[in-house]
Amino acid sequence: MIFWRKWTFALSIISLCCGLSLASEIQYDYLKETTIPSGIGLSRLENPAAVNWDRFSLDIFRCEKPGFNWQSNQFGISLPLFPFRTALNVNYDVFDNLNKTSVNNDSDGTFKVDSQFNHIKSGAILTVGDNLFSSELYCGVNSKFYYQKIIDKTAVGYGFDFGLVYKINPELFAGFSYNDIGGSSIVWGDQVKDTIPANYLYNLAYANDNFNINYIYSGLDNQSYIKSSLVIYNFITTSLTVPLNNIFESKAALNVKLNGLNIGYQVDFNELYGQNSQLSLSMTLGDIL
Amino acid sequence: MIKTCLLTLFVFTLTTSFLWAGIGKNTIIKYGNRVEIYSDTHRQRLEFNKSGFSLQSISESLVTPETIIEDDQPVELHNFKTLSTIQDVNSFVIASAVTANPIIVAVLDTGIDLHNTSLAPYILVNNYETINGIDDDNNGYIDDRIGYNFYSDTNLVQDGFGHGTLISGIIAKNSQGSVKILPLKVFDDQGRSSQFLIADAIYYAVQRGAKVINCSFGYEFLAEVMRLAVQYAIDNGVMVVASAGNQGQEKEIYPAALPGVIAVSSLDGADHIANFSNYGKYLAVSCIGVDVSSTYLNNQLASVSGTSISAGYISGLIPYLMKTKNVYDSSKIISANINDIVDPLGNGLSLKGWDKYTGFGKLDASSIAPYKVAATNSEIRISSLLNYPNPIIDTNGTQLGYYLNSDSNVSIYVYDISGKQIWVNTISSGSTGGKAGYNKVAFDCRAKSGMYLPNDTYIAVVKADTGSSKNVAKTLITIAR
Repeated sequence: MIFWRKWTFALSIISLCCGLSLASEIQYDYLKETTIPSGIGLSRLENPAAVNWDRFSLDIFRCEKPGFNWQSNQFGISLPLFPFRTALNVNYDVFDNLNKTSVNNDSDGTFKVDSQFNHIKSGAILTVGDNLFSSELYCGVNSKFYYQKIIDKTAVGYGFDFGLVYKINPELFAGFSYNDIGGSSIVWGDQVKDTIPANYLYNLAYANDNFNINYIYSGLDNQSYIKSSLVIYNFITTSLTVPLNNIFESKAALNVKLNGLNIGYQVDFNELYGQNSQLSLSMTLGDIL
Repeated sequence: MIKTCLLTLFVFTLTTSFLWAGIGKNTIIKYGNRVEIYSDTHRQRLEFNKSGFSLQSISESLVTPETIIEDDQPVELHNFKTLSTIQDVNSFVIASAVTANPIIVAVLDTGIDLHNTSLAPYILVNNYETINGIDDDNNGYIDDRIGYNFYSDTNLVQDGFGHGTLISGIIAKNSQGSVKILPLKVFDDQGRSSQFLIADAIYYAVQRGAKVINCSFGYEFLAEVMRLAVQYAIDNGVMVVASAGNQGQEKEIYPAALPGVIAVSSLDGADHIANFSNYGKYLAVSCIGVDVSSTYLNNQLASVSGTSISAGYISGLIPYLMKTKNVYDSSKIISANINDIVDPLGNGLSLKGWDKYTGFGKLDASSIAPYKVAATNSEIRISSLLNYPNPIIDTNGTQLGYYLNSDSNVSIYVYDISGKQIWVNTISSGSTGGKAGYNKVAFDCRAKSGMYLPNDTYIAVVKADTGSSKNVAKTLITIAR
């Protein structure tokens, strides 16, 4: 029974990859230098195929039990449904107070603000994954749906990721993911189609209960990132991301655990956005479901 | 009893109707690049020539005139929310002398108290006109030696209401001797006027060389006659300052909401929008409007609140800044001296940059001194960073525009939302993009591969570095093809 389940899963993934790589509308070279970030839910750079080292999101690689998480603009649930483990993440972002500009009727033609508008970015990611062949190898697939709206223009898109993580020993992991397989499309009405180019990521991680450090290499950008976090006293977490060419980001979080319920408060500093904070909540439902 | 009440009401309504029926209709005839406006109740005929309009210059014989007939609408004075006379003469002191080459500020209001000793040095005198019942300077207005009364079509500008005297006092004080006031009485002593009278006064103010027109009044209905007059003034390089109104609502009031007008809202002492102040997407700046001291009738002083006060505050302050900095572009003056109000509602909600409550921020006299010190210390400042067009709806890219207060090395970065760097442009000091004044730098919205960026929001970061001082400004760019 177990043998059959794993081979079915492997064949599903292989057929999915083949099908997508042969799709006719894929534009492999489009936007190689400037990809739209796959920054929705579990498919973020550091989360190949639902493998998530962020302690404020669900970690289905480690978590064998059902649970959910909530942040200010994100909600996710995880279920160990037969025959695979499944997670759904929904993300919603709004950039408000964007300026609609025009030109002043002065000698320099200076710019002025006429009015303001919003940009809504949202999406959902359904992740299916499980151990493959052995308990040391985890494999997962993301199915992604995008929705955006800018003033009166709306867009929908879709995409797929595939990822593997191999547990070399209890504290050392090696990962690979192939994101936006074949290029994910976002279609704006009848006129404009943006394509997120495919990207592959390598990940090497050391992680124990109190400390983890990740090296991530992004093939599309030809860039490396180092991300680490440290748990102090089992309820305070600090995190630092040092991209080797772009902006850096640091986080500090307080995480209180109450019988499976985690309440987190995170303060982060990002070189671009400055200081922000957010509340998060996650819960492992244990044997309830 | 009921019959008596109904009769009284009927008579009152009838009387009021007759009074306002008197403002009549305006006929606007557009001959391509020339506009003539006639009123059926006033003797003036307004004629705006082509210099005021961006229309193609063609022979009038080839043009079919466009005629508009519209009701002349009433205009309401933005009367004060609070007013109380004060006894402390030291609470209001204005410069006793006016500097050479003052800037003329036309005050369209209830007139001015000609007996006020503090204001006397500030009143503009037309030396080409004598009081003799003859139009000596042949400008169509008889005996307009000290302003003009458009309501009664006479030269009697004595203020019987007090509003104009209060506004004039604030303008005089904030100008610190930089202005002469041209009092144009467009309201009667009950605070009533019409759009034609306002247009007539604006036309007159431009002809008399006013560089600032203060409009502490407004009305919800926009008449074409006022729109044309304001456009005529702005196109002739005149700064039109208007108050947002005192209903405490998000509301479009004209002329404040007209394009190009410097619309002003009121702040209280804590730099939050005053509870009476209107607001909206048309706002340019804000300033104090609560418990401000000024001159009043009969040589008295008064403490007043209202957006009228704020408009007067700006109409006096900007000429002062223009003269002291030798910069006569109002947008440059505002952007170089504005202080962003990040919490305009006082509820902790951060609204950085422009917002509908305070516009681009607060302009006030107290901010000038620290700014001068900073300028002498060569502290680099980047202001008014915006890109145009935004949102970008085609593949022609956009331009980033910003002010620098001195030459500086500039680096411009564009990132996507995740922080991935997309574009870098380094500009050396003194070259295009790194000069003191307003700079424009083109961004083609293309990746290094040459492909156009996808629809999304991006972050532009401008960094200026003079060697001894650094500054950073950011703005959001949205592509929505």
